[in-house]
Amino acid sequence: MSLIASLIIIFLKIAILFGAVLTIVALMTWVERRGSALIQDRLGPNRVGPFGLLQPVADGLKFLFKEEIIPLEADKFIYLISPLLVFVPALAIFAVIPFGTTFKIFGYEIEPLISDLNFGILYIIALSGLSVYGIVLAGFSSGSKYPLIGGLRSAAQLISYEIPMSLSILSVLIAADTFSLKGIISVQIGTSFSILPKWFIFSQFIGFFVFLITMFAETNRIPFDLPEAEAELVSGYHTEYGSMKFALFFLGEYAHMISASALITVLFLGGSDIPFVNLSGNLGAILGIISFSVKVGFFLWLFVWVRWTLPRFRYDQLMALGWKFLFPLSFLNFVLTITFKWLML
Amino acid sequence: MVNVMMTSVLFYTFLILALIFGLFVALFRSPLYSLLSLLGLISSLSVLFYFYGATFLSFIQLIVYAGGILVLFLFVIMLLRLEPEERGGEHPAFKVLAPILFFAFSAAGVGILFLKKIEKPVEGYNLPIQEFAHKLFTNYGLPFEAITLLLLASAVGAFILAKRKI
Repeated sequence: MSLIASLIIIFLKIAILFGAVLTIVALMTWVERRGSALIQDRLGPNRVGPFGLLQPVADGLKFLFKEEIIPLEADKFIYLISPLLVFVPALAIFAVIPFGTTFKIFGYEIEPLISDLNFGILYIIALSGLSVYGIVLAGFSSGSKYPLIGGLRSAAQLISYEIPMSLSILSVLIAADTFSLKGIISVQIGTSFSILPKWFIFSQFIGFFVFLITMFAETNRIPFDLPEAEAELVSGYHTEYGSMKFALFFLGEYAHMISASALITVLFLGGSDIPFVNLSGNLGAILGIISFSVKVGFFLWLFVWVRWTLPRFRYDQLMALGWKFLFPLSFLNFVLTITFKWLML
Repeated sequence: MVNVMMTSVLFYTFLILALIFGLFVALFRSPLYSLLSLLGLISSLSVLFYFYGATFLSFIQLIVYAGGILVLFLFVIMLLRLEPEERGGEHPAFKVLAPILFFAFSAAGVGILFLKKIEKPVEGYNLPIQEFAHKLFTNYGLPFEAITLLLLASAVGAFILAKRKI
C-alpha cells in the first residue's frame, strides 16, 4: 500500500470515529432525557424535530451563542484548559479500541482500529489516570468553594476506584495472556463445553461485576456522582463553567461513558464476536461491527437506566464500598485467576 | 523515509519540550504551575522512552507518576492551600550559592552533551513484554524484591508519621 493511501485511510478512520463518537454523544443526551421521562412516566423533550431528535442540535447551538463568563477569582489559564483535559483523554481512549474484524473496500484491507498497540491496556489505564486532572483542576481553579469540594471528592473517588478497576483488568490479562486488546478479543472467540461462549463475563464474572461498578464510579455517574451532587454542591466541579466550556465537560462525560461501555464489551463480552456464528469476509465484518454496537448500546442504556433508578451514595458509603468491598473482592478474583492459571499449566 | 523523518522531528520536539518544562518546574513561583510543568515534563519523558523502544516503561511512567504520585502532590497543594512563594525570606548564603550551583550543573550538563552526543532512537527496537518480565524476575529478581521492601517500609513509615498516637 502506498504511503499516501495509508495516510488517507488513517485520517478517514480518525474522522469517522470522531464523527461517530460525537454523534453518539449527541444521541445519548437525547436518550438520557427521553429515557428518564420514560422511567418517570413523563414525555420528555419531543418538540424539536421528530420525537425531539433534534433537541441536541438546539442545545449545542444554545451553548455556542451563550456569553463567555470567567469568574474574577478564577486562575484563568488553568480554568480554560481544564475542560480540554477532561475531553481529550476521553476521546483518545478510542484510538486503541478494535471495533471489529478486517474488511475489504476497493481492494484495500481495512481494520476498524486506529492503532494496534501492543500495550493497549496500559495505554487505557494511563489515560484514565490522566482524566483525573481535568476535574480536579477545574474544581481548584474556579476559585469558589463548591467546585473545590467537588474536585477533592472526585480525586479521592477516582484514585480509590482505580485500584479495583486495575485489579480486575489484571485478572483478564492473566486469563488472556496478552496486553493487546485484539489479542484479548481473539482469546474469547469460540465456545467452551459447546454451550457457553468463551467470553470473560462467564469465566471472570467477579471481575466483570467489579469492573462494571468501577466504571460507574470512573464516569462520575449516579450512584457515584458525589463530585457533582446537585443537592449538596450546586453542581460540583463545573459550577462556575458556562457556555461551550460546560458543554466540553458534558461531552467528555458522555464520551467517557461510551469508551467505558466499549471497554466492557472488549474485555468481557468478546468485542465483535457473535457466539455460534462463524462468518468471514465482508459480511462477517459488518455483522461484527453491528454486534459490537449492540453490546455497547446495551451498556449505554444500562448507564441511563441505573441513573434514574438508584439514589446517590453517601460519601463514607462510597469509600467503604470501594475499599472494604470492591478491593478485597477484586483481589480475591485476582488470586483465584492466578491459582486457576497455575493449575492449568 | 517520511516515517523516519517524522520520528526524529517528534523526538527532538519532545526533547526540547522536556527541557522547557523542566525549567518551568523550577521557575514558576506558584506550586500549582510548578506541578503542571512537572506533569508536562513527565509526559514528554514518557514519549521519549517510547521512542527509545521502552514502551512498557513509558506507560508505567505515565501510570505511576502522572496518574498516581502527581495527583497526590496536587491533593497536598489543594488541602494546604499553598500560596505562591514570597521573595526575600531566603538565607543570604543561598543568594551566593544558588547561582554558583546552577552554573556548575548547567556547565556539567552541557559538557556531557558535547562529550556524548544524543543518540537518536533506533528504528523498530521494541522489547516484548514477556522478555521484559522474564528478565525482571530472573536476572533482576533480588533488586526488584529489595525495592518492593523499601516501598513497603516507607509506606509503613509514612503511616506512623501521620498517625502519631497508636
